[in-house]
Amino acid sequence: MASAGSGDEKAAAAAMITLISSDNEKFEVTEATATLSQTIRHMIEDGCTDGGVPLPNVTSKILARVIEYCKKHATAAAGEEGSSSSFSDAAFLEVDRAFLEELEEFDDAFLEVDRATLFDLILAANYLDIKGLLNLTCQKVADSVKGKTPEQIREMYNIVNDLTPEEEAEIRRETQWAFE
Amino acid sequence: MSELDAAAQDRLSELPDHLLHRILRFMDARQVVGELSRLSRRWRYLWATSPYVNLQLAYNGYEKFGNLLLLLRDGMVPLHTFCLHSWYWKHFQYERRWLLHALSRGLSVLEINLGSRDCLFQLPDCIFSCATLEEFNLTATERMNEILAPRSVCLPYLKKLHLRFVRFQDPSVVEKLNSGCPALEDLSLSQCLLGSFKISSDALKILSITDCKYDGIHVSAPNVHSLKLTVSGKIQIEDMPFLVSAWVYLCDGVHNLVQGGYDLTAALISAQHLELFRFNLFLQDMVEHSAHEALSFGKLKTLYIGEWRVADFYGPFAYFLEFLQRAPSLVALTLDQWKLYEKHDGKVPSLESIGKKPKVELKLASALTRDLETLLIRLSKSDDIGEFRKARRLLKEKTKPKETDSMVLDF
Repeated sequence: MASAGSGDEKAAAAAMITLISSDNEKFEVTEATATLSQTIRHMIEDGCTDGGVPLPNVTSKILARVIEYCKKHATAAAGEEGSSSSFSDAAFLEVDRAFLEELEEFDDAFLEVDRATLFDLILAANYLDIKGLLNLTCQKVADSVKGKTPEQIREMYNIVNDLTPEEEAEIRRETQWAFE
Repeated sequence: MSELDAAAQDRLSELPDHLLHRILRFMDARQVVGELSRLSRRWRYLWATSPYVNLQLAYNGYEKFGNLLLLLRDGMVPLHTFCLHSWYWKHFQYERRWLLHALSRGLSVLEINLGSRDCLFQLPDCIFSCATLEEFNLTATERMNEILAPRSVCLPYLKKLHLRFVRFQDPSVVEKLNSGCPALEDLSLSQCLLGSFKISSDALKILSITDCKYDGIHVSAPNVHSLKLTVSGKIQIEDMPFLVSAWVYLCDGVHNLVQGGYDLTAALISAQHLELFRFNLFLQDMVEHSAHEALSFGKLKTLYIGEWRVADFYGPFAYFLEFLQRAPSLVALTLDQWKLYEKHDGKVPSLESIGKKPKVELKLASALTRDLETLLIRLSKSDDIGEFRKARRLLKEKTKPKETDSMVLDF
């Protein structure tokens, strides 16, 4: 590409980072995408990303989803420096930060996953320290529980009620003030 | 583990406390205390050890509930985040006490929603002098509440301040906030009523002033890297050499940048990503204003031009080629009419209305004989569309972007 190559060499060099999942799959991402993770950002700052970043707590299936989220949000995040290469293959919507509504649509669609994947995403977002993704996934769980009775919640999430009738009565007394 | 086991697994309760607390922070405290504590042993005391307290619903006994919650929660756990949704001004008497309590417990994040109507709020002064506060979000949900301005502001660690629908009685409050928050990095003012003010800060990195009513703004914040502005009144932005991305929307009342007292074009030259609405006014500014003639956008990589009109190409867009020469690193250009007609109630000048003959070749085509990686054009359905289709054929012949990269979306 002639125009960008003229003069500014720093701009032309788009740093790529290799992420390695627990099952040894390699993912090449731009620095802008990777640094949405504070964990990886610190690794880059410490200069220990040569040869790839091993992520033993994240499977390739989940890492692929996390990267999908980061790519989408890297261009939207304030002050995140999108490299030119991330735009060359960018879809129309990725270029445009004005479409916050469409970003929300992306988030909604992104969260259409089964429960097991949702929990894997929470754990991965926590481990990689991606605040936006952690909030998004935690909010999804909170919304699913809102206004439900304890019985409904137990059923939804396979929570075993290990309270004895005595303990249950005790909790009722303890938290009576929440019902008055 | 077999799939059957996996399906029966209680993944939720297995999460560590801090993640469960994160989930609970999105829920009203009453459900957390009253209902979730009865789920199982694991859940019994989670409410008490949470660093987040969220009181968002009003109900009978709300006062007593809030009092007891703050009294009975584990005092050894510092209160990190306090979210308060105040629905009725009468409740604010005791909600004020909760705020005082929370602010004296090492609070980092405070979120207040004022939902009641037509009243004069006085927020406790200690909010504006809290030595631990790092983030403060204040939103008025119903009509704009008037809020008594703080007598003084001293928030030494505040990094993030977001105000929405807020109207302070003293319109100069922004200056007080600016001088009282030396560490502020992220300031967002949205739909607020503001007077005339100056923001002056070396710490500020993210600045967003959108849909506000104001008299005049002067910004001197050289370290801002992300800027978002809706320009409706006079504005002066000083140089931002570290700017990475900017979004600027010029309201309908803005006609000529220089003459109208909108001095912001020069502040944008360092940006890599620009999203500009009514780009013709920026072009006009660069051409007509002698001080801006030599402006060069050397780092600009992506340019998004929103709500443009085909008619623009007969006016200042004629200078588009010149602009492109000043932006040698540009690789992606988007021309978008999305919401153009909705936002302007359909009052968009067509070619006929400005007396141009539609046969005149659009200047755009000749301007885009440049090597771009991505060229995206989205058109709104209008009289102009036929005219632009012609231009598009020209574009295909003359421009270098691959056919797949240049797309026209009709909607």
